Amino acid sequence: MIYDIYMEVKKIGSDKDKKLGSFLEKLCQFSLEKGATAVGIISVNEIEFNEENTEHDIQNESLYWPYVTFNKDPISKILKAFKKALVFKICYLNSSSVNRLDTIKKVYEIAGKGEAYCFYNGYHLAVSLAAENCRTIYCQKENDCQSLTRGCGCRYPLIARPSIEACRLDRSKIIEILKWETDESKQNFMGMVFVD
Amino acid sequence: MKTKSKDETLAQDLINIARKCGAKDTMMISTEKIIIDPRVRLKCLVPPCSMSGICKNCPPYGLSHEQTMRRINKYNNAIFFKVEVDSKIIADQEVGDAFREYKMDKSGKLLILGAYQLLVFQIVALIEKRAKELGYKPSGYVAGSCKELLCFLHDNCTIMAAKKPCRHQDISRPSMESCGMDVFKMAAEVGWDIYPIGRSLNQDDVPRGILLGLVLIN
Repeated sequence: MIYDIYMEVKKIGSDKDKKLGSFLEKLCQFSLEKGATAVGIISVNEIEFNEENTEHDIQNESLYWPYVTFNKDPISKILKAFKKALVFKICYLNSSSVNRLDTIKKVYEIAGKGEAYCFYNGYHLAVSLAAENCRTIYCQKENDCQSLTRGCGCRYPLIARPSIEACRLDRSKIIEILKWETDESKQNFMGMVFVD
Repeated sequence: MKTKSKDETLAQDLINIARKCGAKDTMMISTEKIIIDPRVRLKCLVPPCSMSGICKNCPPYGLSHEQTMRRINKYNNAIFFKVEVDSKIIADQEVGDAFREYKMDKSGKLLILGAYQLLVFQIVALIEKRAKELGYKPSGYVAGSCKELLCFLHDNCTIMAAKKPCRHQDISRPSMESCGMDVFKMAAEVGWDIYPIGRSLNQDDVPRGILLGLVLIN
């Protein structure tokens, strides 16, 4: 899925060699080619984070759901270290015959490939976010999230990702910044790639 | 004749150890050149690396980047070295897949990669040993996860599973990246060629790979 393409690799250079602006344009184009309906670039300092906890369904708890809670690595604080992020969305018509699950998996695919594109082009710290709960997407037939067992790893390393909400980003604020319209006949699945 | 300073003599002593053991290049660097970035550990966690969570040295465990910075602030100098690995080994897709799936590849190249990784661990251990003999309190950092290299034949990390001491205290060390050190940037800043190696590249595009180690000295 994510690894079915080859990417040109560039040697890691110094910061002065980077041209973030032009790279972000290429990343936008790349994401659209991979199936995103719309893309936008956002400054991370514009993003709002919602630190409040809400009640959640314990049954579907995973490493990344309902919230990403790494005690030594608070994710919202770390994401604020980035300057720019790509936001993309895939529109899903509620009346569509396309499987909803497949549409969400597409978000994971674009997020993963976008991150890989950054990695091989000198932005080695890029990180991406996908949609919903990866457990219900990839481990729906399993009894648990393997990562929650001490000493065990994820069943889908390099594929599973947290959602925007699970990292406490205010999704509606992002939509407002990008001036994306909301349409009740469509569901927008969003993903992000934090670049640099 | 100019007399060498104590630091220069120490540096040469330790650099010689690394070179004799097979490091391609070694240098003493100021700890100001160690680059700590909280995003580095995040790369181990999102998406989850296959090593993430399975041993005490790797995220989400191990040293946070703040803990690492506090430790580094106690030192002025470090030995930084690289071991070169043929891209046919380190950038081979089958090797990467076997590594992520915790099994051997058909050609046995993963074993060879493991040998290079073990060399980094050994060089760090030997530099630490010599530094201790000279009265210093060194702190070493390696490349990659200790679990799949040193405890490959064990089901789990004994610290995590049984709360017992590490099986390989003499040689097991946290990796540079697990402590938040931006290894890529550090290598580039000292002039070493380093390429991002992963599943989606053609190994012919990468001249070679490198594994890096660091020992805080004084």
